[in-house]
Parts: sequence; C-alpha cells; structure tokens
Amino acid sequence: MEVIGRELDRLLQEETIEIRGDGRAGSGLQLTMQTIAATAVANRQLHVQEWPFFSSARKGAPTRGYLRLSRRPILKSSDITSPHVVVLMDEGVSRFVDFAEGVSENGLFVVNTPLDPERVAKKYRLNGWVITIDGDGISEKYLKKPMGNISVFAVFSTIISALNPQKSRDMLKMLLEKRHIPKSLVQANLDLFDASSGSFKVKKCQFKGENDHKPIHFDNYGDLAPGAQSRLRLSRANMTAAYAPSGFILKFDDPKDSCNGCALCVMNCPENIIQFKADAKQGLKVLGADVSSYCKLCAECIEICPKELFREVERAEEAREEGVS
Amino acid sequence: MSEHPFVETPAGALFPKAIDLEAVRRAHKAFATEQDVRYADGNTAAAYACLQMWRMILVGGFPITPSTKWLETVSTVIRSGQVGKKKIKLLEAEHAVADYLAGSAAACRDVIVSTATSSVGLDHMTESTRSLGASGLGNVLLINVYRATANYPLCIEGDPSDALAHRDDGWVQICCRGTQQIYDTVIQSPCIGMNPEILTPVMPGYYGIKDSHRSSKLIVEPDDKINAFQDKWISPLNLPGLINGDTGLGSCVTSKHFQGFKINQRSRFERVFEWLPKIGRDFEKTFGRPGLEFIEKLHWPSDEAVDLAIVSMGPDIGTATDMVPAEEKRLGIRMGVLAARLLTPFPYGAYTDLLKRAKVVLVVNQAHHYGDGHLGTDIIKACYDLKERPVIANCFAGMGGATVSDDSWRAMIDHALQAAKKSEKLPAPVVVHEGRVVWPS
Repeated sequence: MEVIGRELDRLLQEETIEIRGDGRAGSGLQLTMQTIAATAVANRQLHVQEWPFFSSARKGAPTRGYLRLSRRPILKSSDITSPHVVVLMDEGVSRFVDFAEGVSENGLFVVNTPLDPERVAKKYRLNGWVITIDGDGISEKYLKKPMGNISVFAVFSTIISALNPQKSRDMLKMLLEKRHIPKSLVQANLDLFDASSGSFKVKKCQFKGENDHKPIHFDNYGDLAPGAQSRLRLSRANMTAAYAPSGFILKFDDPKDSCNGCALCVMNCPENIIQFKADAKQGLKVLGADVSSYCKLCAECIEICPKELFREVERAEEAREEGVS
Repeated sequence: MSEHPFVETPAGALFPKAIDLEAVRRAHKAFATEQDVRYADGNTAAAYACLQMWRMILVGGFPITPSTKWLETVSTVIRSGQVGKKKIKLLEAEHAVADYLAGSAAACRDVIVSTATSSVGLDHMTESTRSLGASGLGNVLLINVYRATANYPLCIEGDPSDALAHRDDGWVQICCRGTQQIYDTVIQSPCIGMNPEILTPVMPGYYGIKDSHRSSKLIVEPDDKINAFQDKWISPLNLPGLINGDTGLGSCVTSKHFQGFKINQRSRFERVFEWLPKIGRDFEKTFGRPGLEFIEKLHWPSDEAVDLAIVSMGPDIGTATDMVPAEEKRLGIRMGVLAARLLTPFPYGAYTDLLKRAKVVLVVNQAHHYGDGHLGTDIIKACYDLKERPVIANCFAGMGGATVSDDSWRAMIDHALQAAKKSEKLPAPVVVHEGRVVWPS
C-alpha cells in the first residue's frame, strides 16, 4: 500500500494522475468520480478535471468516466487512453469494453468484486497493482442494495494521501446532505464508507500476455456510404443489446404466415435489425430480427406490428422453446 | 367610423419610468456573498455567472443537449427564489425563445435577457438571431454550447460548426475553454454588448461535452463585486424601447436605406476592437484573472520569433500546449500556441501582428468546411499582407467532438513542417485522426 501511495503522490506532484473508470449507468461510477474530484477541489492545492463519456442514459448501459488530478494546472484535454489507474465498477461491462486497454505498465486496477486480487488479475490478465473491494456486498449490508461506489471512493481516499480519509468522509457527508436525503440514509452511507476503508485487498500481479489490452489500432473510417448511420452506430463499443433489461429478449413468431409486408417494423427499428426477404406478392416478408448484439428491446416493432408478431419473452422461456438446456 | 382606440405615441419616446431599474436591482438576491471555490462543469459555471447579474431578470428556455444543464441550473435556482425575483419562461421551440428574448430585450434595453442553446437549436433561431444581430439589442446574451449543426448523422459532442455557421448573424462571438474562462467570459459579455457604441448581442460559447460536461475548480466571485464591475461598464441607455412601437424589429425599409443600416451595424461591430481589451484589462485588475482578449497566448515567446505557431480554439489547444516542451525538444524548434477568443468580429490585425515572425503556422480547424477551414481562411487573410508570409498548413481534427490525442497533434505538427520543407506555402488541408492523416487518404 505504501508503494502505491508513494507513486501516486509522485505523479500528483510531478505530473498528472490519470484515472479512467468503467461501469453501468446507475452503478454510481460517475458519482464516485465526481466525489473524488469535489474532494480534490476542496483541497485548494489540487487541480482537477472530471468528465463522463456521454452515452445512452438508460440504466444498465455501459458508461465511462475520466478524471485527472494534479498539483499543477491541467491543460491537457484529450481522452485518457493510457491511464495510471482504472476502476471497474461493474464486472458485467467487461464483456463489452476492455477496461484495462492501454493501462501503463505497473498501473493500478481498482475492481468492485468479491474476488481476491490474484483471481481478478488472472481472470482479466492484468499486470500491476490490483485492489479489490466487495463494494456491492458491503453495500447490501448498509444500504440493502448493491452499490459499490462509496466503497470505491473509500479506496481512493486511502490511497491518495492528498484526499485524506477524514476530509473525504466530510465531503461525502456534505454532498449527501445537499441531496436532502433522510438523515438515516446519510448515516448508512457514512457507515458504509467507514466499513469499506479497511476492507480492501491489494496485490501486485503479473498475468498480462504480450498481446493483451493493446489499444485498438485505428484503421481509418472505411467506406461510409450515404445511409451508413446505423452501421456506424452499431459499433463494437456500442452493442446496444447491453441496454436491454436483463433476462428478456425479443421474439418474432409467424406460424400462420400472417406478415402482410407493411414494413412498419423495418422502418421503425432504430437498430436496423429486422430480417426480411423480397416477396413477389406483398413486397417483403419479415423473417425475424437479429437480436444477437443490437436489440435493446425498445419495443418499437412490438408496438407497431399490426399482426402482433413481435413480443418480449424471458430468455429462459426462449431457450426452452428452442430446446436449449 | 369610430376613432382608433389607441393613442399613437411620438416616434422615439423614451418612457424612462416604465421599468424601475432600481427596483430590479433591489429585487436581486446575492447568489454568493463572498468568494467561493466550487466544483462545477462548464454549463453550471455559465449558469452561475448569469444568475449573479442583477440585470439578468428574464430567461427564455428550450432544452437541447449539450446545453440543457445550463437551463436546468438556471431554472432550479430561479424557482427556488435564491436570487430574488427573476422570470424563467420555457417555450415550445428555439425560434420562440429567440422571439421572446427579442421582445423582452426591446421592451427594456437596460436589463439582460438570456438563454443557452446548441446546434440545430441555434439554427432554429436563425430568423430571429439575424434580426437581433442588426437590432442594436446588446442586452441579449445567448450562451452557445458548441455542437455540430448537421443531424446527418446526429452527434451530441462538441464541434463549433454551429457557432461558425452563424458568424454572419451579426453577434459578437467569443470562444472559451475551461470552466473558469467560461464563467469569467459570461460576466464580461454584457459589458461589450451593452456598450452604447457597440449595442450588439453577444454569444459567448464553449465546446459541448468537452467543456460543458467537464468539471473542474471554479472560483465564484461575490455578486456585489460582479455587479460593481458591470455597473462601471453598463449605464442606462437613452434609447427608445418597444413600448411605443418604435423598434427596428420588423420595420420595412427600402433599398435606399437598407445598406445604411448595414453600414451602421458594421460600424458598431468595429467598436468591439477598441472596447473588448479595455473591459478585459479592467476585469483582470478587478478579479486577478485574465480578462477578455482577442487571442489567448497559451505559449508565446516575448520576441514572437517562432518556427511554428499553432492556432486553434477550444479545450483541445490545451493538449497542444501541454506538449510544447517535449515537441520543442523532439524537433529542435521554437513553438508558439495561440487560442482564438474573439471569433466575430475577427481580429485580423491582432493575428497579423503576432504571426509576423512565424515561419510556419499550423491552423487546426474543428468544424466541417469545404475550403481551408473557417479559422484557416481567416488566418490566411490575416497573413496576406505580411512581408514574409509564413507557410500556413490547415488541418481538421476533432470534428464532431472527436478527441484530439497527442499522436494527432504530433501528426499535424509534422505535416506542417513537412510542407515547409517542400516549400509549399499553402498546402491543401488535411483531416487528421488518431495520429494519421485520414483525408486525403
């Protein structure tokens, strides 16, 4: 811990600490970043820059946050691509983004997970210092719901000496009180902060392979024909199926061959995933929808289809119907 | 036939007591009574500055990303009664907002009316912003949070194509970077617009997301100090308002007079060159932070002899400034970095003066343009009369709010120096992203 603290102090003094976080909308990632930044601003010697990566505001959508801290004015404005510290607030998003991409050698990983550092490092093939804290678990005890953000904030208040644990706690209290939430809830959050302060594990690990977490090479924009907007939106980093409510999936059923070829579903689908074939009689016939990556269950097709051929089903039910165990 | 029920008032009537300015002043409650260090994003900083002016009593609003938080903050604070009696009017579209501002500003030229908008929001206002630009209503304050205007495809991040598409609207346009500069610029803006020699609405602007949503330290000044500063520069105007129907908005004139109005508008515009630096210097003296200036010299040697001058605008120029020591070492050259502040009217002379000893000028444009870029075209003109005209390399980077990485800056610097080696005085513009020239490919 002392080594981490010394290195972060050095960076703060001589350069700029660059922190990048990944989580889901509603997981408290932005609040953590903002609370660290507000605490830093209260320390008049520190300069700070904090901003969210803008994406769908729908709860559960992958989100990203950036934070720079320094004792010198911060001029740099570009995105953080080689962070010194990364936060993984919700392990679920690791399916969609490489949270460790471009992390500098011997970087620091702060992961909200019940796993110990070595298991996390092995799982994600990480090199550097790994700190794990079961933020969701601790939060269940104090807030009756999984919210790792206070615990992750407690980790930062401990490892960055300029933030100071007591001042961080005071700032947290002030920010919570500003929200006019009940006193009991403010106290529960502070208890959660206190409980988190000594509950994290740290270990230096070496599990990264030669080709792991390399920044994606930009290879120009390719051929963008007019009308290519939906193809652009359906990028690797924005697999909109991640925004769908967990456990549900879109289902198309047309056992009586009743699709009338009105094409309303095709025109209204914002993700361009309706599959159809040309039909000599009625123009087209809808065959289904490619729900593998981009169906966010917006329900436009369900609402618009005059024959009620689309519906939302539980994934388990779908699996049963498909005969998948 | 009955007599007309309305009594026509003589043209030019002043109605000096129609609005009691002292009552407006008394109705203002201080948002901050002493200097305070806060943590805020660009939208919040701009909102705070507006809320702290006693003259700012009317807000018209229609939300559009990324300016929405300005409206949310202003609405929340006004509705809470924290800043006294002010009115917020939410309207059905941006055009209605601009009309509302025009009407209310004309009704009393001594109060400030404001709004914030972005992108197509500003486009929707165009009919009115063009009229406002010519109207002499310098008490209209429009915060422009930059976002690309084209919605094909829609992109909500920071790109100044909206501001640059509206340069002919006739507003004073000032570009900001960073939370503190946004706050300070909004405070100074009405001092320019309401100057009796200028009387032109002001549009301070900043990049959407990159600055509107980026939070950092913000020094909030006490309202008393802000208002004392503005009171030095803003005096009641002895001009007729809308009340007697004698307004420039909607009047029809013949071609005999139209050009005369435009010459008058242009003459008022030119006065910005004299007053803006004076207001900026007084701001610096009063608040101890840099005030308004034509160009921000982020890194500029006192002898002005630079091998490479970088000219751009907005927060990304900060990244270039951060790289200067390493780049000077890598290339063995002297570099300078300038950030555009006053966009309209464009201070050609100031650039001519600064760039007279530069060998190569790299202009980084961030809005789509079929030629050399909006900024690039102006810099070419500024350098046209120089005895030793520098190489001017125009690049495009960060369009649509894309990040401009260290690698991209290096690629643009190398591109400019390569052009100089080949003795190309004005190389064709290129688009750069992620450290490489992506157009022409």
